[in-house]
Amino acid sequence: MSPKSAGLAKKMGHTDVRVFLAGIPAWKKAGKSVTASEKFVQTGNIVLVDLRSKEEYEAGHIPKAHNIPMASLAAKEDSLPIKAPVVVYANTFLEAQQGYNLMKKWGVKTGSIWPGGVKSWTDKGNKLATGPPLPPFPGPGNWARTRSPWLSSKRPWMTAPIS
Amino acid sequence: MHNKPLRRWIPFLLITGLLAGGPSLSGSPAFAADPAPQAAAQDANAFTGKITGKSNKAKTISVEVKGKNEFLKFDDTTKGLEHAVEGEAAIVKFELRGADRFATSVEPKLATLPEGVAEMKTDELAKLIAMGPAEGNYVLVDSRPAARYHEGHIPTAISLPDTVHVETGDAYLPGDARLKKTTLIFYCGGFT
Repeated sequence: MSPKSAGLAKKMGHTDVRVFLAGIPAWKKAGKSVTASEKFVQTGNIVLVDLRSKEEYEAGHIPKAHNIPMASLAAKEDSLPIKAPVVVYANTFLEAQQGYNLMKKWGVKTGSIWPGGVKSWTDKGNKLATGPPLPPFPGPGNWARTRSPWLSSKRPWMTAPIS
Repeated sequence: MHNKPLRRWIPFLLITGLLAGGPSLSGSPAFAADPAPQAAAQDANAFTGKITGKSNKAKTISVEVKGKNEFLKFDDTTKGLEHAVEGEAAIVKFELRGADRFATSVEPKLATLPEGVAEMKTDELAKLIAMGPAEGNYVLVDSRPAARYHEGHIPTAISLPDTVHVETGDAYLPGDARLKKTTLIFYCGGFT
């Protein structure tokens, strides 16, 4: 896929064209995190985890988020739905990365980070949800795979690139 | 996993046996002969594709070739077994021993790059990303289908599936990249 695109770019006159051949698998294997898109956080069938404190969470969080403060995350290994796409966010990228790494270690298949936390969320014009009640954490067996439009390449918005 | 294709054939064999009215044993040789023509269709006794699994217990490797899983046996004499890693692209050479395909060697499949295009390694990319697109003067392009991009992409990447790229050319690239002022870096799922 990527070499083909690189060849095309070269043909169109781009001079400085490179290919990260090892791709996503190598990136993840090197212990680096991947980023979820805004659309994925808005509409994807995901488990969203807010790693900040309870107070911060109640003051305003991304809708659908479950609150698991970083300090108590380690105790949640058995209650995490590892088959679900889990997206984490925190105040800092480093904290989010820590949470991501831990969940990856537990076997979460499609983990990702929402970078920039609530700030980048509102900066993009999205609203926050406030206050309790906290939604119950789904638990290992309580996330259901839906026939997800995310995997159907026939929908026009699936193939439309993001600029 | 290894047994599944076999099991799928059982009803067929039974029905064939019943219809023929003869001993159902006659079905067995026909079945045993079946994998052979498939193997012949693949040229030069080698499979090239993504490794989809390796079982040390069953001593089998599975390789995805044209969307279909092909199973091979391996043993201690198989060379390069360390390259049989799930999700990696490899070339698996094999020989036929009876009805079984035995892997003789596993080599990583290195993609060939178009002329004038250099590979970028993980470390180099990580350094650029730490700088950010503006300072690093790069545009990172995710060539995978958009759905893959949404669920997780390398930080700072934009989505431009190769299929869309072919149709639209530079149209979706950010301005500076369209003006050919930046480094263009493409990546995808790690093989092909």
